[in-house]
Amino acid sequence: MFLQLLFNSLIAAAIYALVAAGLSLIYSTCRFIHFAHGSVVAAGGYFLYFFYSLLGVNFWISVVLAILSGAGLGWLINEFIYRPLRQRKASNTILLVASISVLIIIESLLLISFGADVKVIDFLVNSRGIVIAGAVIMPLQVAIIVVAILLFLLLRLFLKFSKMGQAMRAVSDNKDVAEIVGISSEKVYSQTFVLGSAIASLAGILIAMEQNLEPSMGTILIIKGFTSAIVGGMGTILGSAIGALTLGVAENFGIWYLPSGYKDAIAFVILFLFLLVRPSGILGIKSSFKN
Amino acid sequence: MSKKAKIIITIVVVLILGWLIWQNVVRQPEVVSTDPIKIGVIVPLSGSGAKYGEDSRAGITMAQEFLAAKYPDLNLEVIYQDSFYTPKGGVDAYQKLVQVDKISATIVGASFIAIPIRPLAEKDGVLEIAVWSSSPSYTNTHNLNFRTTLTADDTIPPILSYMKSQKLQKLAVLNAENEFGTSHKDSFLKLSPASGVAIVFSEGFDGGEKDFRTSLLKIKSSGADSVFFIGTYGQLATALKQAKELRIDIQFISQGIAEETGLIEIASLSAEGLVYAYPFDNTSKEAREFSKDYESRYGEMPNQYSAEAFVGLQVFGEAVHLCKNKIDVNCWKDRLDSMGKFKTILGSGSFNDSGDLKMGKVFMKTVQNGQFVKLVAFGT
Repeated sequence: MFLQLLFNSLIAAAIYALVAAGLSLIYSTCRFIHFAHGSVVAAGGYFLYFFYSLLGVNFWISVVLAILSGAGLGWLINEFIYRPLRQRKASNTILLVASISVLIIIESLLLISFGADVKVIDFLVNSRGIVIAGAVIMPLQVAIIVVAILLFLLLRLFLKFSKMGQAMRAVSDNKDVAEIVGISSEKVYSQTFVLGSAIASLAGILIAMEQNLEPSMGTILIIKGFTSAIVGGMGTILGSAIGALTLGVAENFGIWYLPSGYKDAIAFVILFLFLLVRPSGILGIKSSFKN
Repeated sequence: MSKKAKIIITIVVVLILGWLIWQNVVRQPEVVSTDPIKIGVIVPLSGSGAKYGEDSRAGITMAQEFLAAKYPDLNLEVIYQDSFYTPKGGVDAYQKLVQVDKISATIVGASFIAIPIRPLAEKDGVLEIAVWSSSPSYTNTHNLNFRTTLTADDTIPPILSYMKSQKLQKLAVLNAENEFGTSHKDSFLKLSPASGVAIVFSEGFDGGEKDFRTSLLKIKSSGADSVFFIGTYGQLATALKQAKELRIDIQFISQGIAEETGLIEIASLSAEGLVYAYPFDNTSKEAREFSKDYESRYGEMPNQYSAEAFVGLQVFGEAVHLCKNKIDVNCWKDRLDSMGKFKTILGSGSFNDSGDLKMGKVFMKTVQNGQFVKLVAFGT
């Protein structure tokens, strides 16, 4: 039973980590919480549904198209919502409020476009589970965990060694100095939103295949992703992963002993405790990009 | 004119004036309205319950056409508001309908939304008809509230009878943490001891829950041979799928939420063998024409949600017609209370003293080869 609970925890942690990764990336560069990230996750899943289930495009090509569409959506949000607000010297609070509005608008558009009923991506529907010492895990769930781990490793390497990653770090550390040395902060913001939204789309694709699609799924996911990012250290990529793991384990082991109705309460108690005792999270904001 | 005559004339004039004042001021005049009679429909048009709202809307649209054909003089205006499948959403929708749209009656979907609206409707003098609302407590008090749904106390005895016939004795209950879910759990706790079924595990889950793996592991540990699941069809399908993935071999039992094509789409082979109690037979003699028309329009057979919504507006329309198309809530209430036995697409029956429509049968059904198949019927 312990092993099965551990598997359940890892699956939940991987899902939260996938959401938190893009959110943390955007926060670390742009310095505001992009709540609409949750709706981009949902949109990623719906893009896959649109290309694969409705248009009948090959599954793997649909995945690529969905990721590109999600990246495009992120670019559009930055270009037409956040950039004009930044140009008017809007505070981070205003950007936060705008992001919540965008979250609601995108979810409403998904509802109007695809309807309210639950949608299914019928790829890997009747696969067989892998049994390890009596505990069962499905191939898709293994894929989610592996993708989450690979994603974090690649993201870390990207931020450390690539030119774009170094530019993102420079803008994150000090936007004005970065501008002086010739790095365009607006270009970096745009690139960050494209990359973060592509990650969100990938997350949406995997989550849609595991949990199915409904228009409001983004709201629930962003709350868990946000909690993971806070617990791990908002703005730190590795911190998001640790925060997600902490949350996944706490929830699944917690509801073994408590009624499952307390699941969200466990998440919010953890969030509250960290905000009270260690608001910088496990790895802390000051260590942004040092991992 | 003599003094005596003047006194008599004065008294007669005062009496006539007094009668006129009483008619038009003290006694509210019945509004014989050329304006439409407005009925607000509060169902989820978004959120996790949106499919039920869509089905209800389809049923009500067909009921409007049915009433327009039967009573051409009937002038009803149906105004929809989204309840978001939450009590707060439902109450906000109700307030808007009463304050802005000035409705005289309302149809509300779901017990956990109809119940908080009931005292508000009572206070405002608005007739409330609840559809797909099975919590027994909705009609704990009855004045202006009615419903077209069989309660949990009606649907659970057939489930227990079926369990007994299948020698299922240890039941786990997994319910959504809302009035709908807890009322079913409470009904099981109340009715199961007499049937010899023991509740060995009981747990609630949040309305938005999608991961039932840990709960299913706990059910497996409890030694239960069956689980009664009550939530949305999407959640039931997810639980079925996850139980199969975890290789938990247990009989799943549910009720009306199960009969959705979406359940088969999501759960696929995991749904095979699911057993559920269902209060509507869309192949019955009474429902045949309705089902044929519904399927030709919407591409699927009607379900409990569309049928009860249809009947909800139908009975309201009948009451308004019997009250000569007047806006008179008390007259409508009296007509519904005294309707006697009548036939609808749900079957044959009448409103009881609590305002509950007792008609039709409860069918135990199952999923077999991706189809919803009848097993046995129980009368109400």
